[in-house]
Amino acid sequence: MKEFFRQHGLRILAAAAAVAVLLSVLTYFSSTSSVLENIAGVLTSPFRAAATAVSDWVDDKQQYYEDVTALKEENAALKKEIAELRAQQRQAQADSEENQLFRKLLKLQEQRRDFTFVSAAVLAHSEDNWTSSLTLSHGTDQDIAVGDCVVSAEGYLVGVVSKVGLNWSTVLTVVDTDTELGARIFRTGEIAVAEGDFSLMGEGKLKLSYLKADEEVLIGDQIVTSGLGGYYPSGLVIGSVESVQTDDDGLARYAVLAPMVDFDALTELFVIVDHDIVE
Amino acid sequence: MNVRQTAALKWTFYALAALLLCFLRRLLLGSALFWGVLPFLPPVLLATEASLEQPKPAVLSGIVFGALCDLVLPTSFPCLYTLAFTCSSLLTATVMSSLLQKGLARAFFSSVLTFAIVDLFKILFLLPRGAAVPAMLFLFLRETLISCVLLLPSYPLLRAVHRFFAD
Repeated sequence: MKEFFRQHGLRILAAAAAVAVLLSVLTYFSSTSSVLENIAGVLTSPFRAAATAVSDWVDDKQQYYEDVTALKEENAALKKEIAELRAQQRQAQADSEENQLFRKLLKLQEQRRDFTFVSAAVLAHSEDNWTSSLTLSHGTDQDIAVGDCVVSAEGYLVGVVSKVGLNWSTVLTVVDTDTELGARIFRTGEIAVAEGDFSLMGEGKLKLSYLKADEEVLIGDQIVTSGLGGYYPSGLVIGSVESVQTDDDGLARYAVLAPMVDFDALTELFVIVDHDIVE
Repeated sequence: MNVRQTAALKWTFYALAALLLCFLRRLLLGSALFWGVLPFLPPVLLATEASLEQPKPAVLSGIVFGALCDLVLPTSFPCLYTLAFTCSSLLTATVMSSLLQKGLARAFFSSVLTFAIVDLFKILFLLPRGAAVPAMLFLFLRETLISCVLLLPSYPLLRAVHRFFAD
């Protein structure tokens, strides 16, 4: 190397200086790029483009990989967050429903201070076609007894407890053929008997029997429990009069009652385990 | 295994199969009404078992299954299913067995007979309360027809248990 520079160093220096001067002169006198620059640019342009393209592609792929990795992590984090939010939402919804139910119960309890309530969930609805019943989640563990009245959160009568176990009880609804309650027409105060009827049970209705011949019963009249005899509490809404009809023998009249509750939609009920007796 | 152990095991498997079918019935059909009625499984299960068995075990199963149903289901009077299932299993294992060969047809007619007896008791109980006979007969007809569809899953399963222990 030293030998080479010793022999040709001056020549190389002179040539380099000459090229530098030439390029300077050409640049000075040209309004655009110099010819040599232009030629060099033209020749290297495809390579530059290719290199840039390759470089961009690699950058792009690298970015893509980084993005995908980041997105995967973000996606996993978001999924976890969504799951947590959904769980919170479900909990909030359950809390809200429970809250609403307790508010109703509180209102009910304020309205009827003479009642002692026990809340119970509905475990099962009617299991055969000849009875209308519900199975509740509490029994003697909550002092529920046979004959206790069961009401909805709004205070409407649902039925009467017919069987009771340690942690379950069976309720015969007001439309069941076994149900018979002393009733009172709220508007007039007249006494009658609300009882389940086989033909009406399928339609989810019941009968108001033993109406006096001169008794005025209007469609829409509210029927409540009479409470006479002290067996059932008084003033529980059984249903409203839908129609007034005459028995097959043509002698007695009865009213068809539509209960105030939709038995299929019931999920939570309240059992009246104690009440003041009306004399 | 001796005969008694085999019989005990067979009835345990019958009970497990019945439990499974009741669970599936509740899970898949829930409170869904078909033609205005709930498909009612217990009479179908009893009739199928009784149609496969000899009179003595059939009647015993009728008593036990009936008592269980009386304990679990709401009934018109306390021993309705015990009485009805005992009568029906007796008739199924004696009369039906002499009329029809073992098979789906015998299980079907046994189920119809069981529903007829169970519903007859219910009708007799409801009659004094002024229930309309045509309405009750129509309910019996609908309940029987709809519930007998449950033979399609019940019969093969119970027959499989019967055959397994018969071999």
